[in-house]
Amino acid sequence: MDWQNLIAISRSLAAGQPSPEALRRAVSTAYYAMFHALATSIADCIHGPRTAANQTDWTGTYRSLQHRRAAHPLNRWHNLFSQPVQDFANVIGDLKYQREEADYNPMQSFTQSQVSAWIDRAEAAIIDFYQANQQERTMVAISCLAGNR
Amino acid sequence: MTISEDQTRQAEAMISDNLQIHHGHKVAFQSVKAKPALDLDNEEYLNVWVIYDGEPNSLDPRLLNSFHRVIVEPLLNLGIHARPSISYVHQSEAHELTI
Repeated sequence: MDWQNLIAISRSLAAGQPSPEALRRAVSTAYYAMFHALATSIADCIHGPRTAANQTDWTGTYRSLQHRRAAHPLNRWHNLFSQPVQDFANVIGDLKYQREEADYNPMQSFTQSQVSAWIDRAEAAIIDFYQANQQERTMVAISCLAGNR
Repeated sequence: MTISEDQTRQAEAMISDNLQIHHGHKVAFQSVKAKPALDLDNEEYLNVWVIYDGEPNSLDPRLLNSFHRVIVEPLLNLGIHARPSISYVHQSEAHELTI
């Protein structure tokens, strides 16, 4: 899954005069952009970029990421990480709550400006996260896969 | 829920004060509404809606993202250990919210 495509889909869902259902899908898709960006980073850091030779292991690691772990990727070790990585961790956790409201709470409403801000924030957080060096993102991968929560 | 009504109101005031400082008083934040909630894992969090005025692109997403770090400790000082999840809503759409 390409996180950039997911962000683009999220934006298209929230554009124009979106229905309440489109706004809900936009929130959910913005969260999944972050989730898949994190899963890709984890698999890349553990196995290297996906190739025909490592595809099975790479995909297994990619699919091992759980939503609960993704919401707390740094566990209790926030201070060990740079601010952009901390911000990524905070946004994916905060957006997971919104995604659950969007997907499962019929009483929750979302507005266009609200959803647009979440999409912009998700995109900025992912871009900055990928600016972190390989060593730091590997620490995130280990924290995510072996966390104690 | 472990977050009391009084703590919720205190959190709203604290978030409002810190928002203005964090954004250098460049964005007109009109009000803050908070409501404790539970996620699907029964983990408590603080759902927060910030109502602002001005152009939607006046909000810098990176400043919005870093604000979480600013308020974690003040929330702990209020006895709130739950994470905040802050949405930003333009004042023209505030009537659409069902809080």
